Amino acid sequence: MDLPTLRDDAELVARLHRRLLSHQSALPEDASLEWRWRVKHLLGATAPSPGEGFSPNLTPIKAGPLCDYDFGP
Amino acid sequence: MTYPLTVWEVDGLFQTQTDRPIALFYPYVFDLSRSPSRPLAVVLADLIGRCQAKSPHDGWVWAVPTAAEWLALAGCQEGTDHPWGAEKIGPHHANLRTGGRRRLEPVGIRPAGRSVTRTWDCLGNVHELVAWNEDDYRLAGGCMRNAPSQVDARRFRPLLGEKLQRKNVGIRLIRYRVEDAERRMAVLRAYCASYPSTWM
Repeated sequence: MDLPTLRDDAELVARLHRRLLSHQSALPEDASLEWRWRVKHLLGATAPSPGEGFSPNLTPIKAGPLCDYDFGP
Repeated sequence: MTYPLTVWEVDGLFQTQTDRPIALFYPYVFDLSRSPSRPLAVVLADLIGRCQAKSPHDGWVWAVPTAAEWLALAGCQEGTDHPWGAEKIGPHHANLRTGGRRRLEPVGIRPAGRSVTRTWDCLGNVHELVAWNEDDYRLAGGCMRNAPSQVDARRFRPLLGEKLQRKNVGIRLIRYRVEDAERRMAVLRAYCASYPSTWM
């Protein structure tokens, strides 16, 4: 599954943002898998790519002052 | 993990395949009622071992976040009320009980709810397991069944035995440097010692 991001589709971006920001419940159950991928890409989320399943990147954060050591979320 | 662990990721770790593709983006939810036959610590150790095998990183190990680490990820370690700051909780921040049906939603669809560390979904949707001490866990973050007034990122709920049928507990794992193992436990002990007794 090779899904394009839709950052250039201004109308769709605006519509999805309105829906996400105004709709308190989850995405509709009938939303297609592709649509969900597109929403996630639109919002800049780093969802796992299809087929990867589990491939997180390690990006340590400076977690102080409570934790005075770095750890990766 | 920037997001709570998803069904998709668990499928990748356990080489399983959900029969509901639509569920792939949803948070993985623990079946805590199985704990008597398979203690939670064993389940978590298995999960962490698989993460370690699937995604090793020199000198770093996977773990359940401590309460202190979770609070740091949520950006609430300095008394901030919410991961996104002082703004009052709104429906665009988190999946909480604000009327209507209460149900899970995919991770990562409420950008307004991100923390200052760019961590998603700290509040709402599913509770998250955090380590409270070396063999005890608590719940962080609140879930879709909690009203906004019931949620406080700084408060960690006990994992009560009588509620093991619950289907609202997920997790996000972290990695830490091997040499920080003792330090993180010391920080956790100090944090727990300072935790308000009225919240216990």
